[in-house]
Amino acid sequence: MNRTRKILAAALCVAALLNGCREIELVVPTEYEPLPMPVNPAATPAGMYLLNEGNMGSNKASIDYVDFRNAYYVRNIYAERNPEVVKELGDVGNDIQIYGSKLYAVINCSHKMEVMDAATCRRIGQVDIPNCRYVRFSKGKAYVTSYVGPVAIDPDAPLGAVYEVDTTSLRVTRQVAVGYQPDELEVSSEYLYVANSGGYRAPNYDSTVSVVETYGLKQIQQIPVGINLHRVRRDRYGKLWVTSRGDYNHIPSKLFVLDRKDKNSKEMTVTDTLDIPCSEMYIQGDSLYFYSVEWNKQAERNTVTYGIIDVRTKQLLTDHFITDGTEADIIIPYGICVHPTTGDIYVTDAKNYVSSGVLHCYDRQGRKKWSVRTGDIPAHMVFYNP
Amino acid sequence: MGNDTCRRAMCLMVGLYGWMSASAQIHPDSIRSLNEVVVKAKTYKEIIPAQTLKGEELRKLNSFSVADAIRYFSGLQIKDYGGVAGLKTVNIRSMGTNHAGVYYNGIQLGNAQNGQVDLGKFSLDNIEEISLYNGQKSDILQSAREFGSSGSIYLTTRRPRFKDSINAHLMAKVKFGSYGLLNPALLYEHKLCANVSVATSAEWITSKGNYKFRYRRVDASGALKYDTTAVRHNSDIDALRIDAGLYGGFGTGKWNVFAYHYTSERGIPGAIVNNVWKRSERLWDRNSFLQGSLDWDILPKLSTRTNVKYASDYTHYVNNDTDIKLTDNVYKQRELYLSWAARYALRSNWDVSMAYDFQWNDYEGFDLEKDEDMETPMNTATRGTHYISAATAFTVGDRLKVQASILETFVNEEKRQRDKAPNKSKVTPGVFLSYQPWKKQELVLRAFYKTAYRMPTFNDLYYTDMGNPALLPETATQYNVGFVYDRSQEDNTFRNFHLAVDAYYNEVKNKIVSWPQGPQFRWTTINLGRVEIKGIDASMACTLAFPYGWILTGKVQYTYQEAIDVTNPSDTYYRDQIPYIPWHSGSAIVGLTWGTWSLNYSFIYVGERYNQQENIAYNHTQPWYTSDITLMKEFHVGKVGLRITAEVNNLLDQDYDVVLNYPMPMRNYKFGLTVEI
Repeated sequence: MNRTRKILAAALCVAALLNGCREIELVVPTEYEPLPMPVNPAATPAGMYLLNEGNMGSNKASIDYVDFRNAYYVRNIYAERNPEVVKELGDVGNDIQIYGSKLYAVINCSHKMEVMDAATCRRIGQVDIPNCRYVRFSKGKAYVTSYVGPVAIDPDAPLGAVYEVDTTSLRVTRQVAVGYQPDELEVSSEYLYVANSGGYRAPNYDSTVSVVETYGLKQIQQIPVGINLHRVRRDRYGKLWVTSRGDYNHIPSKLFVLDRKDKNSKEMTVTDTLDIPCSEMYIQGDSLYFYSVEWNKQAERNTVTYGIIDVRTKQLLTDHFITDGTEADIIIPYGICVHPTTGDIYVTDAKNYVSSGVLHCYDRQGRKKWSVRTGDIPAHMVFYNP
Repeated sequence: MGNDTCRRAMCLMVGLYGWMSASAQIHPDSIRSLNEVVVKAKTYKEIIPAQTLKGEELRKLNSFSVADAIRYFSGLQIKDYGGVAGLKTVNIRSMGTNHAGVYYNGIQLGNAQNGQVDLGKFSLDNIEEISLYNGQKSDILQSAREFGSSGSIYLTTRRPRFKDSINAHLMAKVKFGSYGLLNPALLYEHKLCANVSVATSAEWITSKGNYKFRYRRVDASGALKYDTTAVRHNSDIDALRIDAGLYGGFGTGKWNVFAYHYTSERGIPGAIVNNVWKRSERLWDRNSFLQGSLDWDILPKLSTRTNVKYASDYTHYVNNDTDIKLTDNVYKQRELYLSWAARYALRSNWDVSMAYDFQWNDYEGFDLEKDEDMETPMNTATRGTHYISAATAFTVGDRLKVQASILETFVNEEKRQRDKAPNKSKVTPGVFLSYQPWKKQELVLRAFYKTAYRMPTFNDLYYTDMGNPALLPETATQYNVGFVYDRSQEDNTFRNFHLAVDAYYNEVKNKIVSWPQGPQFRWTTINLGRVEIKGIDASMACTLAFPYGWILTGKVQYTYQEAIDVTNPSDTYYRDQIPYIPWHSGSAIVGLTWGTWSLNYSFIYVGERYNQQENIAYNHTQPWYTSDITLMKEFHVGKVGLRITAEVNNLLDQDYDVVLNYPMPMRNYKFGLTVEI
């Protein structure tokens, strides 16, 4: 029948339109993009790892690498170097650090710390730590903060914890309960200083820095600082710089300085409260580079500041370290660091959190040198020196 | 509280029933004319016919829920999070879930909190017909709110129908299948008197949902790098639905009262990400509503429709995972809805209509971690909305049909704890045309223009992290041209042929999107987005009759959509296809019937798409396609009708995600037995 044939032909046409066929999914390949900088085989540091967080539930945490020696931006290095890892790096990267020859990535919503060879980014192993946040190191041990500690103490409001991990065996050796939802931590001689946020208890935020001595792994003190603490960094004089997020409403973000009570005391206390909102900071020599993002309700937009503080005088040196006006290209700054030798400043832009971010490089005078596309939510950076 | 609501609902129902039966008794002489009522209604052929699945066709599809069935309509996309328990939402012509209106027996299902209707909750057991209208239903006697959706899905439950002297029907069904699925259902229909009948149905669904899924990766050379098969956890469901309807007619009208109650407990399986294969979030739902409607032709030229609804929804969400934030929240929503519409025939070919609706929504959220007895809500919102519409329809020479409507909406944002959102009002027009160029050929050309909006939901305005009370309504403008051709003939191999093609251009402005706020992971919602959508929907169906009683039916549907983000040229995703909209998608159904045997094959294809805004390799999602087969046999044992079905779903055992990291079940089976008396 002629008509039957016509119908069949039409059906075939439709079938042909549905041409895209399905294959087994490919391991996401690494992309190499040349950067506008000279090739320098002797560059130190050799490169910089960048951890992209990826939006929660997307499983899109990824690692990029800025190769200072070959002048390349290497995008999404982990999946290709470790193609056999099921579901890749994981969900929401929260911190990246190097200690010895190993690269450590804390993957918050995958409840693990991924351990890799810093030279190749090849996986060595993983340490399972629930809701892990940040990692620092001391004497062969990694200390990882976790939002949830032992539930047994108070199942309704579990305290956070610091997990101690042996960097050779990659096993959790000990753990200690600290304040509520601890974020960053810093090592200073034999003590850990842990910034407690209490973010799960809003509006009853935590407001203390926990002091943990590392020999017995015991919390010996909780220093009252300010609500909803986030960052803690040590300058070269032994002072601690602590940020509070505020309550996002009435109490603004602030920057606190902790110092010894007196010259002979080991006890730290808040010596200065700077009314400078601070979202993220990076201390290089005597300069504390920071940016802040605050929501302006009236204007319905974010107010962003890029500043430098002199850690000796605690004075604001500038409130716009980007000098050529290119800060207007940044929607949401989400990470900052400073090259230890050239003084180049790196600022990442997380944009709308659900699309690729950008890594911007500025020279020490604050003029843009280059920008490059990153993964989703570029946030944490660490320099690599072989 | 729950008891109180229940009691009030009962009172209302009894009251309504009393009133309805009283009004029915006013016209004792209308008994004989009951059957003519339907025929009497002025036949006005629809300007834009709906895509419809009903009766036998619907029964033969391998569909469990309404969401499964509407995948066979062109122009829409389903977001399916997998399994019987997984959330399933619909997006009509890429305009967004919130622009799709879902109507249950003619009255819209609402969710003022987040604007989404989970179509997975509506099983097909008691559904007789599903229709999809682009633009709006082209009948001007409708409630004002029905003029307000960009696209509408109408779910119609089975109405009691009795043959000859039989005045009671009993139907019992049971379905069972893979992953611990058990689904018994009971339906009873009774003719109370000549013009009043009652239908009740009840259904229980339970499934462990522990289906297998698979993730695989190969490298560029094709070498397998990983291949993992795991079992979905926390994807179980236990749901009970009970509904009852009273249906009646009188001289120049008909009425019905319908009560619905659904209660469920389910696991929320969550995203499968590295190192996390199990979640422990639980959800309890209670959805109840009572609705009534009355169609009454007061005068020969004046017809009216009255709708009343009261709905109460309760959601209890718990996260028991001690690794993350423990959460124990209860959300309560109530809705009261009244609608009155009237149509007057000015001339035999010219009708006008008016409608007024009032809707009241109330929402309360409780944090049980802090407030165990639910004494003080953590947040509340109340909204009153008035809808007024006017519409007209006329026919020129029986060939050109025109319909125009205008809807005005006033929103009173009443009270809440934080800043009050301003009141809003919005006027939205629509024009629909259809033209039949040749009287003898069933070829109809059609076109429409329509603007619709969606009000910001309570979550958009107030709650998802940081809502934004200054939000404006999101508007969608649609332009559509198309044609439909039908041909039927008797005594030939070709019995029916149907072809419909539509091309459209839609624009969504002031699209409500989440936007980062402040330094941390905090979001606000703003009117930022703009999306342009160009698409083609095509569908074709035919029926072939062969000797010896073999009947072959075929239905093919294809959709092309280009839905691009045109918000801001400086965005990296400017002019990229928006997330989860495939360029190509389609379906095919082939049915073969021979006497009491029938075999049905259905195929669904969803082409490549991106799971985030940027169309880059990292966000690429592969096409998926599934083949399903159903075999059905009917027979009679005395007066008892029996039907046995066997289904195979995802015959080719494809491992796919519809939504990134939410794996779908692989090959699975279902069996069913239906007994009808």
